[in-house]
Amino acid sequence: MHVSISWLRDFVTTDAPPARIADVLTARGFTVDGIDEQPMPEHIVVGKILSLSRHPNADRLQVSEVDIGSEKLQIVTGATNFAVGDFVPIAKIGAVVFSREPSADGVRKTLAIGASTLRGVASNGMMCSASELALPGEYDDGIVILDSDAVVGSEFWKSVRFGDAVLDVDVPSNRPDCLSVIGLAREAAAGLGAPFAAPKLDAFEGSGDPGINVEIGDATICRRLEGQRFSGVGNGRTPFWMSLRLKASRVRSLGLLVDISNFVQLETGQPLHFYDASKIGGGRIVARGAKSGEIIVTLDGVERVLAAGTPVIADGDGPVGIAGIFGGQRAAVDESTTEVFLESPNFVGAPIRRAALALGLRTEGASRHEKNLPLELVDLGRRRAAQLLVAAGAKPSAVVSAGESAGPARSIKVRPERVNRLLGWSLLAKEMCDSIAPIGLSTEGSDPFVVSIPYWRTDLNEEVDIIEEVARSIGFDKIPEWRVAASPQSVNEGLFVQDSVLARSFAASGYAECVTIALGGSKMKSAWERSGLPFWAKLVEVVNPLSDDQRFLRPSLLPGLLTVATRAWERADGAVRLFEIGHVFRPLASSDEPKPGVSSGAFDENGVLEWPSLCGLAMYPPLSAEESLDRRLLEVKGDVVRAIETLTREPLATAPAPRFYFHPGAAADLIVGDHTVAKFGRVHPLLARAYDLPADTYAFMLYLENLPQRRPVRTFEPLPRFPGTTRDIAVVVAENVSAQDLTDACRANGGELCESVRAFDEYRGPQVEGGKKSIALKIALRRKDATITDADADAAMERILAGLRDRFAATLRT
Amino acid sequence: MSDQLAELEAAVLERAAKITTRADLEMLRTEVLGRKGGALSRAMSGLAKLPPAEKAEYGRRVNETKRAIEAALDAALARIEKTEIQGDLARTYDTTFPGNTPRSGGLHVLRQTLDDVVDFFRSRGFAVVLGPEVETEYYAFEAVNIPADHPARDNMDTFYLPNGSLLRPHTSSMQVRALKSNPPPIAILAPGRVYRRDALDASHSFMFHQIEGLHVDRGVNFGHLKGFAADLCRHLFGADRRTRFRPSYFQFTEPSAEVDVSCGVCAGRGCQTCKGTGWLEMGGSGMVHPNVLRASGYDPEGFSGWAFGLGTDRIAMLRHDIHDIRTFFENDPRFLEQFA
Repeated sequence: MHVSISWLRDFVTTDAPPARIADVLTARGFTVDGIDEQPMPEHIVVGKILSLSRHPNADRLQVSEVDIGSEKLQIVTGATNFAVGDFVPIAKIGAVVFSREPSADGVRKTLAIGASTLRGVASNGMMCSASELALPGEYDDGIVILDSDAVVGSEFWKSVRFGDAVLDVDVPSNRPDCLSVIGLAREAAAGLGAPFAAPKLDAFEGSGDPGINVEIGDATICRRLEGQRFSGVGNGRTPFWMSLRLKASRVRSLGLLVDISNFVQLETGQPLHFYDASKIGGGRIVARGAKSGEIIVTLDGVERVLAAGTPVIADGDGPVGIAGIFGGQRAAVDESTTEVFLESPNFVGAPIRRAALALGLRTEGASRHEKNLPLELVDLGRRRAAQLLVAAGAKPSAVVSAGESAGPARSIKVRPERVNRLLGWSLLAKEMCDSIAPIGLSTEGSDPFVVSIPYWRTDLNEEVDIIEEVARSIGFDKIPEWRVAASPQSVNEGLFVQDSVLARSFAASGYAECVTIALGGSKMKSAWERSGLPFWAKLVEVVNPLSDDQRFLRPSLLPGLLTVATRAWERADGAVRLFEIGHVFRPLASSDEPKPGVSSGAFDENGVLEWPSLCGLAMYPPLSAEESLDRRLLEVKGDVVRAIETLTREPLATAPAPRFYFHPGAAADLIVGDHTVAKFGRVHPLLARAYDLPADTYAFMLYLENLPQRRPVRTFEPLPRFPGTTRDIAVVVAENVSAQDLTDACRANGGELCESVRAFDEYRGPQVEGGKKSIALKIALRRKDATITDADADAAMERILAGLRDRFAATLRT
Repeated sequence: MSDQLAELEAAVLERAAKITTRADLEMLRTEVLGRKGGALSRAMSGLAKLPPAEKAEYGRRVNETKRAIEAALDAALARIEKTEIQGDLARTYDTTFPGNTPRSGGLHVLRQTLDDVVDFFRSRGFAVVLGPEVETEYYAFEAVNIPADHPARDNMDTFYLPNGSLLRPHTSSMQVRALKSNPPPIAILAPGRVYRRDALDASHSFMFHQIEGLHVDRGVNFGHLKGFAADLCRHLFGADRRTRFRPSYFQFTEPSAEVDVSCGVCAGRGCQTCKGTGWLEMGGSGMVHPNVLRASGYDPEGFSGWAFGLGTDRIAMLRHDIHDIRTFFENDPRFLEQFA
């Protein structure tokens, strides 16, 4: 909320500079986000135009005589928007005002007023426009025309009751009382220790029958309505001082009636509405829910079909406004209005909020009513508006009202011990009571003390609310700091630990961690579909996206990471390795893939299958030499295995398993026991091409839910005491025999002596029979009880080879 | 025969003294001491032809010669090694060439930031818990004292799913989850992604990261929160930083406070970074609202606690002078590398 300091000073007596007032408000919970200092050039006074004549030597200039009280000045001007008798601001000789020229660098140029001669005629001062005085808001170029009750010769800034600065105050949503000048003035006064004077307003009630009654048709929508008719007033000129304050508060000036309703809303917090009384049919207005299909044309000219129950104000002919949200056109005031009917309402928050959301009309009025304003404001707002209307010459009728009256003041019991216990403080009850008195919280007793809640503090409902008031009033900065360590927690940190361990493993293997946006839209989908491969069909869709990028939750980390890879590969001069850890999402029971394993990491209680995933990508420049093995695939597999081994040392099996996004001949799962713990493969060439990635692009995903969450505690295996030996062999086998088949068989047949078997090369080509391949194996043999002899080793190798012959018809390649 | 041995010894010693390379030395060793065809073994083969009386004497002579030759060869080797080492030591190498880093990976700066925050919390006895990003209205709003139709929901414009679930707009959804699933006392931090319907720009993202800290026990007070937050700010930003508590409003805390840290660019005097205020917003905090404790089955008369919500992205931006939140999610390799 923007509010001018001069407006605040109507209610708080203080000479404090704007920065001090801002600090005080901020410290009390009303953060001042900005201070717009109002420049206040000196030597500006109110002048009255006594005469106007044409300049003898220039068509575009006029010569005027102006009364500034102490003297009469001859001033030459080019402006034409004023007449004899008008009151205007005059910059006397010696004044420094702002130039009309737009500023290039944000610093406005100034213009010193001196005695001058324009085309042969002396000019001793200048009539000022709004921009020359740097007044807030948008104005046309003309001279400022002041109100007719202005005092000739008086100082301009005093005359318009404006100056100093405009504060941009952030009002928390639980304090609708401070969405008003009065509310902020009360807080500022308390903070400054300055006197605060609440407005005392007469009833401004006439005796005439308004001829329009108010009724509550639905008490779940409207709690109270007051109405009053005013005669002899139109939507005419707004007093200059009022328009200045509105503009300073970022509200446009749109004519007297609209301005008064906005002004009163800003000052008191009570929204109001004016109708043209002659356009109200049936002699009454009713607050009720809309009937199904009722239509209203709102002030913006839009015809709206109202949903049944939408809160409306209706006359005998149907809705004349959407209650508290937006006025209707049919009974709106306009230039021809002479009789107005003022509505001061109190609506129930929830239905207003729902209707405003449904209609997309988050108006200033709606955002106030939805906070359940106090009933007392209804009459306060009506009185203030009446006062301003009467000042403008209107004649008020009697007041009509309907609905609830305000109840007695609420009270809250507060235990001083509880205040100190929650705040970690040692205040006396008296200090507590004294601190909250300036904001209107009167107290009785001391332990406990009972706080009477003033009507405007709808946010205070229980003891803890008063504790906050005490803390806020004395100052958060005064509360002592305490230090204590929490007692040890038995909370399971496993998921986080697992993330950390795996992230560190991949980082150490040269992978750069990425964080991508977990929402996607057509951009993500079409980038993938350029490959011709299908995107995940079943997605978790967002009901209310703001943009196309927010249409669904990612079903996998792969699409996001591929997009990052495209950019990374563009500037790469070698291999690029990326990974990400994050949640992925699928509709429950409709996954394209088997549901990932049981786990503490997956969540499904919210109707969506959500689980943490780890995905990696590695891209390599093309190799010069063709090889039988995909060495890079094995390098990536090695990175994955290394990471997995940080969490488990259980035997890891590899099972070729196609995935639609992998090359069908270069993809496999890694399995521990019965669980798949990872999948890896070469990215499908169509996919790699679609993302402008090289053919040698590899990817992997870890099933985190099937991996332990912490590093296992390993048991030490005594170091071997006797030397062993190694034998390298190459065996020729059929194409369908895998390295894992051979190594498993070697281990099984080698018995105790076989310490390890490792396949290290593969050969296809002229040196082996067609349709067959050769696999090279390194076999380590060792005895635990003695140095192994050649005879022991030969016998073991014999068993191993016999086994391979029997099982795979393997022959030793010589 | 003995003369031949003497000649052999003299010749070998003379050659050994002149040898300068390991290869030449090895050749000489094989030539003289080789098992098959070495000069000395040939000399030994003559032993069989000698009369028995001379055999012992001749054998002794052969061994003597062998030892002498071995000693000479060893001395030559030692001399060659010494020369090699001297030659090596005489060289200098350009150490200013860049180091070889064949693989350069690293953790994302957001994880590094989180880890630093986690270190601090853990040092104070807190434990890390993770939870779902798809959340129920109950945990996201109702349990934290934001009933349906409450205007406070406006501050967190939320994404909804067809089944009525939502994407959590804050990690405060973890408060009641943690309180319900663990016995008191509770001291946790819950980091994670959160979502709000914001347009993407330099300071807004519809996905960002928060860390929720929560401490609930008997006798936890606002002063504890102040002490904790002040220490955390110093841990993250430096010992010279001051903290400020500004009254604020959150449905789930009472009293509520914004925590500000003094601006590091201008040392609190006011500059562009802090918009002239001298302070930078760190996060929202406060004493857990009695209604939240009640929703979790805790008696607010017995238990109290504080909650502190931090923005991971914001902390990282402040610490590393990053001005655009989108930088984190674009993952430009040059960006990632700077923090690897």
